[in-house]
Amino acid sequence: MRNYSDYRIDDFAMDPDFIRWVLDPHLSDHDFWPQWLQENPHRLSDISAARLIVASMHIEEVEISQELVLQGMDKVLAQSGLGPARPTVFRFRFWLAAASLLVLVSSALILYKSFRSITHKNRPLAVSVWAVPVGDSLVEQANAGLSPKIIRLSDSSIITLQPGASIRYYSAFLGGNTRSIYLKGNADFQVEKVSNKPFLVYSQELITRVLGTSFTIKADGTAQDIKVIVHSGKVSVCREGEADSKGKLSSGTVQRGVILTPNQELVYNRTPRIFQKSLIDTPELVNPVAIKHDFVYEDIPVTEVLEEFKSAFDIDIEYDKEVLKDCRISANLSDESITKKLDLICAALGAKYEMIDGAVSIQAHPCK
Amino acid sequence: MISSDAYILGKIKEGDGNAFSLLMEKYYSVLFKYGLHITKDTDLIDDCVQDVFISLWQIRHKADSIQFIRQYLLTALKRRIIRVETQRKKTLDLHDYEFDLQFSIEDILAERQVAEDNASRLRHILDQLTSRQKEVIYLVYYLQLDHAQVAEIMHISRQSVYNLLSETIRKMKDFWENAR
Repeated sequence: MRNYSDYRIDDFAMDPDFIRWVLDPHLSDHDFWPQWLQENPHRLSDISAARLIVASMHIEEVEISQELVLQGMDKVLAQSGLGPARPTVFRFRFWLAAASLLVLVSSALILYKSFRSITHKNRPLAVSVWAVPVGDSLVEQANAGLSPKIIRLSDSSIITLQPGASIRYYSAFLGGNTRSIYLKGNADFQVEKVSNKPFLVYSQELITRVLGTSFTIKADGTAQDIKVIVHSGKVSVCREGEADSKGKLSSGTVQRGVILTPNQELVYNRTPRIFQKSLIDTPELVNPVAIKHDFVYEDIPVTEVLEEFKSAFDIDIEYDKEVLKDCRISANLSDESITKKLDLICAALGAKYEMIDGAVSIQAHPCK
Repeated sequence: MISSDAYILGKIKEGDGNAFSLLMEKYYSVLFKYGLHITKDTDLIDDCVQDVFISLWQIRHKADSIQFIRQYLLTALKRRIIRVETQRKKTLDLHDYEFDLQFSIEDILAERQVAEDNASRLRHILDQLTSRQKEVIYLVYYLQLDHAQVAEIMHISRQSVYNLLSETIRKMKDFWENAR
């Protein structure tokens, strides 16, 4: 780091190291800058002015789809005589080993391999059900209107079909080992628990398996992505051909499906067939009983606050208990979303948090 | 200290296709996004990004001599795009392009509770930035490159980078001093 003593506001706002501290801090920045400020307390107002300037250089940037990148990479590799691109995860793993650059993608890429070779003779296929004419044994419900349509099934489960969505199911819905629904389009599910009869939703090439829960599936036939969002309970999602006859994830050396808990959403990209699990944008309060302080805290240990968040929102928050053991907080966080609450707590702690694979990971420093 | 990029480039020099894939995975979308600020022709960007990587692989025997790979790739991409776009004009002018940039300042305005007339003043300041000033901001604040690398990519002197940047910073500083 250079000698900042004669820096003016403008100089700070243009300094690459200062910019990094504001926009994308490395762990060392959390040590350097607070310490520098302790040694130069009269510079606090300049530093905050410069921080504000840097923070307002906020650029709107598009996201580039993984598909476009992979297709482009395939072309480059083919032209360079290196063959097609290999599945993402292998590169990803190598990446970790080689360079330990963990932040390559913000949410972890979970499922990876293609399993074209697996045949599924004994199970009904999502595709084939739509090829069969509807008759006495096969029922279709469609929503041709403009508002959501509510359907109650014989097991008392409720499906809300969004406009344009349709489901098919066999009239002997409750007669088999599983309750199977075939979905096109977007729908919300509130599933009643029936012991020993898992509820399976076939949407495109995905199977979502639940016991009793509510969740949303967004599976437009044309869309590149299939989305599963869990509101309560627990569901597992896998690709067709990777589940056994009861829709359970097949066991094997490679983890082949994804388990979702409340406030998590899964995006399945159909090409290149990648599952991406993340927290939904605004996690909902799923367990109000867990709230002891109504989000108003007076000199409460931060660990207690975080534990309360964990159970109230049913999200994973990872942090080092030892590091945070002396940190206490006084704040009124009652009006903020959970992400904003975490922002504020982390700001107060001078900590950083990341969303990794549907969990929150906090990197903090001990409090004095 | 061996930086991760240097490690990857060393592997590429040895002909490691896996390392080459890694490099592409890391930078493909960075390059594509940068290209989008120079041209709206996405097919052209895609072709140029691929060409940049293909020619990097062709010269892999000297890959380890590249000091800043991100700057190298950005510079190479920009030159390619401009070269294709100016081919019709038969002249190659590395400054003959417009850099398009959108700011998203709504969050910070809301957070700081900036009044609407002040907010529109900030939008006006940002709208008034020249194409070069926008590009400097993108490279310095979004890609967080240092000034020397920015000068390379923009094909201008370090002093020019400083001048382009300081004018914008001065305006922003004035704005925030008065908006409080």
